[in-house]
Amino acid sequence: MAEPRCQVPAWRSDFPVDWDEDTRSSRRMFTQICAGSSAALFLANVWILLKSAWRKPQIFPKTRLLGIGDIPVGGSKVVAYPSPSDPVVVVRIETDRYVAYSQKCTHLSCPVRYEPSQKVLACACHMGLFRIEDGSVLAGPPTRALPRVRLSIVGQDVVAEEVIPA
Amino acid sequence: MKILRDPGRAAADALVLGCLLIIVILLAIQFWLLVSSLDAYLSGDDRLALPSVLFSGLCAAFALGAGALSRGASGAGRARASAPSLAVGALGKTSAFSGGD
Repeated sequence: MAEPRCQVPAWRSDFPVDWDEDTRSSRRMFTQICAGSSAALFLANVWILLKSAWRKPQIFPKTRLLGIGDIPVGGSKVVAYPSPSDPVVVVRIETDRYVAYSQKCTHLSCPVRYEPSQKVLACACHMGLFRIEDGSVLAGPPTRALPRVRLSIVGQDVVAEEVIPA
Repeated sequence: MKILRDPGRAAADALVLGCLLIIVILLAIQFWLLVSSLDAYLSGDDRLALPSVLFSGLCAAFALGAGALSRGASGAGRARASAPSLAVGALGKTSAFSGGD
């Protein structure tokens, strides 16, 4: 009497998962993946908290930006403050009144420029408009005001003292 | 062969689906929290980080709890699906239970 032959092929032990089963994702598995993603998002939030806690307070040196007569009333000039990679637009809105804001739009960091006709700071990329008096958003996609540079007039110089975040 | 559906397995499936729905909603809330806190951090505002972490942790705890619940329900459903075949077989009826995970 012949012995019964094994119905399972020899290669089955090396390849136990069928092609269809290989890419199958069950509801249960998807639920576990989502729960794991939730934990990952929580950890990302913790990372932001730690980065906030370890952030060093930035020290702003008093720096001369320009002279009083360097720009006319209604004119503007781009300077760098506090580092050479931080462009700042200084606007002389009245004879003895200057304002300065970061030139990086708070939407996607495109440069803003002063529009004397409308008396606004405008971002040409997505038509974001900022009020010249306080840097707040007038229109467009930005949601935050422009960081403002506190200025003082010392003698004949316009001096930057610090950057006030939006 | 007549295909029967175990009511216990159906309830487990519904529970898993409910847990999945809750987890997806919690994920959306957590994603919104993460984007908001990252936006605030990049703008120099650190006040939003701690409340965001606390609320996100609460959401994660609920999501992991719902995940554990769905895992338990799924395991119980599988156990119910495999166990009754003997009992039904003892009654002399041919049956098979079917259902999703």
